[in-house]
Amino acid sequence: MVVSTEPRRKQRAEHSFESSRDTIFRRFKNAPYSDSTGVSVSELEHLADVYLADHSGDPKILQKANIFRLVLERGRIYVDPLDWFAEKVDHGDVVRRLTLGVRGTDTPGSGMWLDEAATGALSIGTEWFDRAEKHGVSHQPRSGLDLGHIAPGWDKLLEKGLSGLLSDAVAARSALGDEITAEQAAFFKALDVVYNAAISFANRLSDFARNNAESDPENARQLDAIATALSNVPANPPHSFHEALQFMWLMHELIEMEGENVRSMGQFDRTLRPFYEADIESGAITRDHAKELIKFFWHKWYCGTGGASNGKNFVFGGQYADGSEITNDLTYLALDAYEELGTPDPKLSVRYLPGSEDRLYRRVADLIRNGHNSFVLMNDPPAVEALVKQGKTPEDARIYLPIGCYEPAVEGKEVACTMNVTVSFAKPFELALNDGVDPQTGVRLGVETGDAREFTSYDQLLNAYIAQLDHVLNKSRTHIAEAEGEWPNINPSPFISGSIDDCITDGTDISAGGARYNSVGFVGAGLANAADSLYAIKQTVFDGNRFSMTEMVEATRAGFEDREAMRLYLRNRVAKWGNNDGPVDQIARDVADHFCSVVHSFENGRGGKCQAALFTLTAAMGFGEKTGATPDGRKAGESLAPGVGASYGLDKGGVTGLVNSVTKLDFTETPNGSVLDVSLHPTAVAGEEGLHAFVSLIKTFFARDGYALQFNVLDADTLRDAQEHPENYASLQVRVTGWSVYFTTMTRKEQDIYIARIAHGG
Amino acid sequence: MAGSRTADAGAATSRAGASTPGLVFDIKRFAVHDGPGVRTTVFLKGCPLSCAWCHNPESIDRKPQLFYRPDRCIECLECVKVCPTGAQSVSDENRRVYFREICDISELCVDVCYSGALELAGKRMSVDEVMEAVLQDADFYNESGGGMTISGGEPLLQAEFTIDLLRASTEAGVHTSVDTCGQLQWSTLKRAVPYTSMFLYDLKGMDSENHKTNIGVPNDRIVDNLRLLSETGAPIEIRMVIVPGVNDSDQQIDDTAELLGGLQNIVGVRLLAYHSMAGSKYVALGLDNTMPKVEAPAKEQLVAIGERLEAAGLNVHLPAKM
Ligand code: SF4
Ligand code: SF4
Repeated sequence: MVVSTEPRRKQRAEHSFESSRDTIFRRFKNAPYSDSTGVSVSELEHLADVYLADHSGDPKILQKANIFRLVLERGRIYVDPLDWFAEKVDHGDVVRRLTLGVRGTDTPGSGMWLDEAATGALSIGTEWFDRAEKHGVSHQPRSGLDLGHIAPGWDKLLEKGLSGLLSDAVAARSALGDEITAEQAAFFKALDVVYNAAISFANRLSDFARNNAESDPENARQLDAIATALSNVPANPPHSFHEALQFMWLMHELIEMEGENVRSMGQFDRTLRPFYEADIESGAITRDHAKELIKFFWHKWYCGTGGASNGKNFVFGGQYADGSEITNDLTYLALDAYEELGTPDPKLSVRYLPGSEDRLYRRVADLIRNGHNSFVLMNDPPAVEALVKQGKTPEDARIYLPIGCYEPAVEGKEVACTMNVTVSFAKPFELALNDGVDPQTGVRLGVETGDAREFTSYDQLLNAYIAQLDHVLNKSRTHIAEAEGEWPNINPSPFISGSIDDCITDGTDISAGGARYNSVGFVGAGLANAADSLYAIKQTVFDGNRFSMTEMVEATRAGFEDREAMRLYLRNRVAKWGNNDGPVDQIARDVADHFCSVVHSFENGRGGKCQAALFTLTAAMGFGEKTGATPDGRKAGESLAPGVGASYGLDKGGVTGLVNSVTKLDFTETPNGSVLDVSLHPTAVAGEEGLHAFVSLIKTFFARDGYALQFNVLDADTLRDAQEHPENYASLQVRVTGWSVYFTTMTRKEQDIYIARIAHGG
Repeated sequence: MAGSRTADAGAATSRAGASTPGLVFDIKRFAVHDGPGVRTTVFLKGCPLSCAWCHNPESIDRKPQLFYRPDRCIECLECVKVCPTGAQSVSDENRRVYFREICDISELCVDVCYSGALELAGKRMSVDEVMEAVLQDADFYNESGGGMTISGGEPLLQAEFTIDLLRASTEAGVHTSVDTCGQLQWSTLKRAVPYTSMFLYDLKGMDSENHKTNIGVPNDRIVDNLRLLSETGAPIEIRMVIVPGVNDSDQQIDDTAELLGGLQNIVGVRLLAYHSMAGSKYVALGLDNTMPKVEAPAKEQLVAIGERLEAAGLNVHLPAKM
């Protein structure tokens, strides 16, 4: 029960979401902290520096835990009286500056300890990655260490509370007895520090809310609810739906403060279902009030980003560990709340099974066609099988969470580092045509594969390409493994570790490989450009004799200068991936198979697997800018093909051709995820017939073992108008790469690329 | 689906026609409002009517035509080299020019024009080629209850090809629709019945005089054929493009309601809103743009027309986006 049973003070009815959302947004960005609640950020920084100087000999994990404690004990705090949830501490990213760096500054993604490693133990690898980044070979977090794609074990957190986890730690520690290592002892000590700090912090917030409720009877109802909730969670399991939401939100904020990016907020309709059902059953909340709470809850994510980007995933649908369906009343209630919210944050994923009910398809398709396009639709059979193939048990595989966009990780058991490296499929092609030297800069980036002008067979070309690609993959693997070895010195994370099996049992932090499954994600980007380029040369040089290898090499080097007719021939007259054309589709499949099998032959630096993915996110544009003209007729600097689909404007066979091609890939070999971006014209999905067609499209893609889908339902005229009159389109959402954003927040260049793509119906 | 209709003429029709190629000007996939489910619509060239508001002007002429879009041209002059008639030439200002009047549609220039400035409207395709394209999307038809729609132009102007294609599709288990304007001999239209799961039947207006002015012929035959078709038991969806001031008078709508209300097997009436956005196609074909300079009908007007038709017991589909 949320509301305290004390005698009611004189108070107004609670504030509705609609009447409070804007104020909450403003105060989230700029909280009116009072100095009476704690010390300023500069003071925190100073105290942290002093602490670090005094304890420089301590294990990093203890240094970090104590800075974490310091911030939560001493920082200024605030509870918004209009809100149902509290979390605010003026932390100034004092903990993150050690590891990932301070958010919203020039150098987020790189903190003190990461810098230390990048210029010290990891300098060789960092140099490789920096050069690879600069030339469009690959894209990765600093030094090749992905600290940012992780989710805690939500079920376990809610089931045990932090006190329960502390008891588990005591038991695990004593089970180790005299065998305990110094690292293990430090881990247990750190866990004790951070969990107790979090519990005291919740009590600070609770007291703050309680005191304000007394002096602010107008707002007492929500403040009371927060005070009651935080006197129970996160120490103990929640007593109500509201407390469960408060628990999760607070954990999100504290984990991020600790120095990770939480990329999945869990399986909403499974994890929260018992709390929701119990409250409905007992009459503690109504369905409407639960919906209102969900809106307040989700608004927090929107407050964090303003709709400019997101990557915090909530997943719906799908299955329990035993394979039974999850979808229930809470699923649909949350979708209603999402519709009413109308913001691109947070991001929702929906998992489908062969037997998923029609209502789930229709509801989601209807939301998407009405502009709520922040959805990823995932197909469980290949997604689960792909994880099983990597050695996960079927029970574990079935409770995967999409991390960030569409990269699965087993909830509470896997640290998947899903974006560890994104490798361009196009750059190795350019290198194969130029003997390993980047024609843009003259820098040698690849291996020597010979003068391509003298190639006399397609196989020779293919082998050169494979050699260049493999070189990048091998280099990445080596340097990532080195970085993983340094991870405990860069970002030990006891706060999140406690929720992940088997960190507590083994007394090992996730940074030291404490999770049950430790994975490294290799993402391949621009499949279409590789397949189309290989096929173009096969067709026009070796099979067709239209051009010579010399012409091909020189024309692409020169960006097709004075060879526009050649470029147009290559672009418009040679078959392309994404049109259900047998021979070129086979090449795409071969390239994908090769990439996945090489990645899957790698072990990573924590004794786990490397897992392949096929998608692009923003890398399509980033790589494109740094890649010269390619034999598929792509001009120098143009974007690579998005996702796993066709190049922009080249899926002339329409959406069905695209689906028929893409589903020829084997998605049980992409355990780290994949996605097909589909753009549909609004008229194609309008009305009941349109909805039926839309749902049929999704089901056909899934029946053909496709992996995941995301949609834009837009026409180019609307977008052009929005470019000229942004003031009229403040709420227009478009889906770019993995994220749904407000169109008006995109750069002009991004907007142009986007419009070109929509105009082609691609 | 009406098995008796399939039995009646199917066996009697000669198979020899299977080799007749058709003149196809487009194949559109994921077509959604051309019959039930997800469909592939095959557009055949040639039409006996000439509606002023035609959205596919390339559908009217029975021969291939050249689309010419100079904004795409890169001035490579390859077309000039291959053109046997001099229709593609270089002007005094050293610019490439196209004289449509002397072009004999040899198609040679299209083959060397990689920019797409020159494109052919109308491609000869065999039944097998079309079926291969259609069957690529079989999974979508199965999931959605969709299939193939043959449209035009008037597909039954190419009667042999259309019948062969319908038969092949039926044999492959793919649902078939034919979108016809009805301006045909009944004996021709009748041949399609055994292989057509559903007809889409265009009604352009009920005022015969007005019909003659805007469409080129009176509407008697269209109305007669509709009556006969409805008596065969074939399901029919009526399609009406509402052009304000041309075919939307109360009298015309009431006459339509009266006609359709008295017929069997009319499974629906689909109202389509006129729009004048096909102008660039007329230009690319070198044709005068005949599209009436009127606004698209207002939503309220379409709703009102829909209500009048519904009052006659008809199942009306309004445009999904208005
Ligand atoms: S072939 Fe095409 S692009 Fe070249 S000059 Fe002729 S019309 Fe222009
Ligand atoms: S179609 Fe033939 S005649 Fe006409 S312009 Fe082209 S090449 Fe010349």
